[in-house]
Amino acid sequence: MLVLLIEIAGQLYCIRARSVVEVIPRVPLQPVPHAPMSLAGLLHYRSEVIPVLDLRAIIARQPSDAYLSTRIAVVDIGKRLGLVCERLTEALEIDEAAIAPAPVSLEAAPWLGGVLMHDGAVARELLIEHFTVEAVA
Amino acid sequence: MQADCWNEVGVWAAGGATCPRLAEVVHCHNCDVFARAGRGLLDQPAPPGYLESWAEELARVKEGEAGMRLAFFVFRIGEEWLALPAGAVAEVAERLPIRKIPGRATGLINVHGELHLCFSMSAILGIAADGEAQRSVVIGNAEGQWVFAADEVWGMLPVDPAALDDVPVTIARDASAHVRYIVDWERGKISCLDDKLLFATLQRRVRDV
Repeated sequence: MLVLLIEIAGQLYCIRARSVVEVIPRVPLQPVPHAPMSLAGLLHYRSEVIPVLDLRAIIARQPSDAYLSTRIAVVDIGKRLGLVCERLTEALEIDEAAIAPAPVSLEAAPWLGGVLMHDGAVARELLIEHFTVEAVA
Repeated sequence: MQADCWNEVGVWAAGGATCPRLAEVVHCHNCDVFARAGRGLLDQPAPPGYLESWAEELARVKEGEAGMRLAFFVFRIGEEWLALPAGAVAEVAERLPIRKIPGRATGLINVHGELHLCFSMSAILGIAADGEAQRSVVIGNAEGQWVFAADEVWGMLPVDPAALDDVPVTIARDASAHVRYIVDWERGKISCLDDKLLFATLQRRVRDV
């Protein structure tokens, strides 16, 4: 199983690559008036307009830095959605069993999944299917 | 450790490599310090115009995204450009030396320590080849691998399956026996060889000689 590693506010996270359609640079987005910080904007993607959520805004309540290492992962969870991910620079081939079940689960953060040990650090899995505009924005 | 240790104690050091990590990783390329520094280069704002050009690119529909595409490996034998299904090609190498087998027309070629029978594509297809081939091409299926010398290799050509043309019946029998399709290429139409038939021919010839 392939996972993408993300570093948000100094913490490692990972998402499963299976539902990721494409990883693209953090291009300028159409702003949505009165949108919460977690909704970064709208992306004109392949003749389609898709909403883009900012993972750092959702997790750490701060907008992502506009660095080259900040990328947008276009994911397909029934419909297409963009996720702004900081330090999305590494993919990792792991065994599905390497992700241990979540030790705690909070109602406020339903998108937090199991834990993966990587290089001595702990990466939390982010359950992409819980990132919907209605749920987090 | 310094910020650019690869220039101070690593393989690019003026006074020679002295880093103790090299005993384990051999080259700075394999070292995680070097990898981390490389990723750090991305922690800076994008150059002007970069993101705008990407935004433009992403708004467009990806060419050929709809439907499956076949890939063909395009190479040249003599004056003839030919194609093979990409799945049949295992490797392309610089021209490798052929070890002759006494009493046989073919020879053996050593590719990564494995010996493969080599054959002359020009003899099978009846095309005159250049004198000096540039590349050795390893082709094969589950049953075995063979190597032939190509005068030139162009690369991979993506083809829409709907654009495959059948072979005209009037083509000379000798070469067209191995030609499956005619495909459009930037320099005109080229013949795509039938890999299954080619492998069958090779199997038969190995037994016959």
